[in-house]
Amino acid sequence: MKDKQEKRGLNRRDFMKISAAALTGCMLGQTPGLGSLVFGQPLAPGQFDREVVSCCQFCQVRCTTKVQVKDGRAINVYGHPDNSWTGGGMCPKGKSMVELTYSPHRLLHPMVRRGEKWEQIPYSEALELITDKMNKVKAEFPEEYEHRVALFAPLWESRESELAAETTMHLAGFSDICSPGDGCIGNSATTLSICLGSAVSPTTLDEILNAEVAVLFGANIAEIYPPYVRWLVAAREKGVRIIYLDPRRTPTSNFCDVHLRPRPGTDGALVMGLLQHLIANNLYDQEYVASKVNGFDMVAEAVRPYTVEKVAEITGLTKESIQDLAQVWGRSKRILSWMGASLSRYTNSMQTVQAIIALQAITNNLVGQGKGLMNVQGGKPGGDDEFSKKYRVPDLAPGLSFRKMLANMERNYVRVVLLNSSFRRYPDSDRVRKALEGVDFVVYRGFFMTEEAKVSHLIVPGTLTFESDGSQYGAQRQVVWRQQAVVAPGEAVPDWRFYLDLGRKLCGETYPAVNSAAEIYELMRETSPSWKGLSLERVKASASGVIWPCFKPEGADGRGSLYPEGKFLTSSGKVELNIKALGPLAWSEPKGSPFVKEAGSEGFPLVFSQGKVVQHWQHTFTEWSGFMAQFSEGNFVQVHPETAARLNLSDLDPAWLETELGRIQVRTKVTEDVLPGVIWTPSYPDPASPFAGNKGQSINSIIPGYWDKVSAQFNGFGCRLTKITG
Amino acid sequence: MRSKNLIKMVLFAFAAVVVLTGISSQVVADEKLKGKTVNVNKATVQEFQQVPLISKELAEKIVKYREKNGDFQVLEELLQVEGFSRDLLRKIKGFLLLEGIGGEECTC
Repeated sequence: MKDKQEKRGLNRRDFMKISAAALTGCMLGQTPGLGSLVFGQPLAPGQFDREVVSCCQFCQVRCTTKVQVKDGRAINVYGHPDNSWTGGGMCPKGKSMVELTYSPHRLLHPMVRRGEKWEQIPYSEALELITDKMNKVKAEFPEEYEHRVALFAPLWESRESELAAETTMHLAGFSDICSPGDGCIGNSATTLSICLGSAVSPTTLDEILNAEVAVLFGANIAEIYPPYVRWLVAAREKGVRIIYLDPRRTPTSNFCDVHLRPRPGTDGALVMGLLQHLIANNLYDQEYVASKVNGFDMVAEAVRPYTVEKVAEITGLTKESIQDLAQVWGRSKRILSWMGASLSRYTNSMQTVQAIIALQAITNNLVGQGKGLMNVQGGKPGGDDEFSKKYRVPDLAPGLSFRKMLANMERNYVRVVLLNSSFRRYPDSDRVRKALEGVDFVVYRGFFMTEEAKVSHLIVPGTLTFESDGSQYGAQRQVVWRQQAVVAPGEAVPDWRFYLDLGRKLCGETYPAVNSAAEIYELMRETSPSWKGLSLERVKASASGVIWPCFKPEGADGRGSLYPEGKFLTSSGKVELNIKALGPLAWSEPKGSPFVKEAGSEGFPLVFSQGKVVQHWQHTFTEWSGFMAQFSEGNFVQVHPETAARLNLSDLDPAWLETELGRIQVRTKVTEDVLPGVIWTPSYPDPASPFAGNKGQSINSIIPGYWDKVSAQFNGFGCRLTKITG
Repeated sequence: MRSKNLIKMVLFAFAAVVVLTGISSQVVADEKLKGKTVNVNKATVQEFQQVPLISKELAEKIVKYREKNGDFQVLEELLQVEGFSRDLLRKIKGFLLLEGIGGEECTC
């Protein structure tokens, strides 16, 4: 393939890049071949009093860790050496929790807004206040109150917190719980669910060692899931060929055999081209298709126009590299495809994922050793339907999606919002903030005086990782248990405690008789057959976690394919490639793309792209770490040298990054890491952060509100860059 | 006595009008759609107007709401559209079909 990856050293002239690379390397722990850098290592005996098993609250690698405590204070955290997924590694985000736990910026007590000032109140009074507001909504609108209280669901605190919050809302008669899916990977999860019968990752990472080829569709593992790099390294050592598809050159480029760089948002067209080539040349498994796949004829018809020439024109790849890539599926017997979250950031995402599923299906690469499909962030175990049905008032209306909740907030229909996550996770985020500002009563459950705290009327502080126990799930569908390591400061309480207390006040004895995270866990487990084998005892004993589904208390867990018998969980038991509501498989440019000529689009000729960096996860957390701020650079934008020259921009020049919604000030970084005509900017800058490196304008404030049927778009639309002079 | 009869007659006439109006509305509706239903996640403004009791103004509001906020997941969600009442939904439910995509809960 001509687009073969360039080998790069780490002698980058840019200090920040060296720092970021060093951070990536540091987190790799003891991985053979990559050196063992001292990061997150244990303190020597005598330097601490006790160790507690915990896990990281950030990404879905869900590194289990050990927290070292001295004099009642967490003083160190390091990767659990027995975790087979991480090999004892962890990344700096998890390490930052030591600093965040004792941050002078922590919110420690409930506070109620009195005019322009905040007044500290006891936790019990805060609960009374919320209960009173929610009951008043029911009294004022006795016939239709179910959509008048909305909850932005707790993220990542623990599974028990999610369950307690859901139970409180549903038993109190309120429907609307906004899960992060609307702004995250809900569209790829939905597509997996329609086509295969389950929204979660169809296989687990250990299968990569049995593959012939692993294909990373926009999965920037080294930056997003750094502890998993060891699997890429180990796979290559075993002879597995790693093919990486990403418009941008990233740290993951260093761990693959081939890096192809299609234009952003064109993965779907590329895969349709591969399908066309395979079908036209009879390079697919006809027997498998006949017995296991519904909708092949539709796919064959839909991809016919996607010739190599056409796909080359759309993607910017060479014809030869497209043909070579098609041959990978034509020749290889065991291919594992790993879909990055970036695939879900476009309005054509569902069709792209549908095409990738079709590609894996018609070549018989969905089930079996060394085969399968993985979805980054796709690990939330299912099986809680029975729990959800049991703990809700009868005939409760289905919950509304985020956009409908937003519309209701804007028309002053929603009267109370329980805000557990950042409004900055959504595109056109200033619109969301404005809508929240119009709500009568907003309760913020958070840790710092963030933008969310500032739009609320009541703050009830939450606990951070080391301060509570609970279960969490990870990208491998694994369930892990975190023990409380230290006492929470002030009156901070975990989400499960807060929602349990609130539920009791609202619902009295109808609320389940549970009083700890462990009891909530067992309450849910006993309702679900697929959780029977996930006993608390077994989960607590495993450093790597126990993998869902697990039907029996003894024996193997759900490791490997989710469909081990080759039977899918669709009603037909087959792969369903027809998605009725979407119509035939089709590819279209992302909404707002500069490649679509629409009125007003000509002023925004560059393609916008954004993403995470290794030292930051989501809003409201790592932005409050001074440790992370050392490696952060505020708002900047990567621009290709050709584009920069055309715009008269040089390295470090200040510039306006502008979209149809507005503009933010950035610093220019001229680099071939991005393609000509494309810009990339990091998503972390937070206007409320107290640290210079982390502080900046929120990029979601200028991302237009384009949506597909399920999720929001964050990449692929048009923008422009203008040098700031004078 | 006369006045009582008069009241009875008025009430009877009123009831008859109500029943006949209902029947005629049903007949008109059946005639308009001829046994078909309208998919609320695909219908155009014109197609919505084929449903009895849906005015052009309301049809436009439904389509605008759907374009802005995504597919309807259940018919009851139509109540979120300004001007759409429970009573209206009860009357026309039989003419409405729901086929669309509901977002799976995020798996992260």
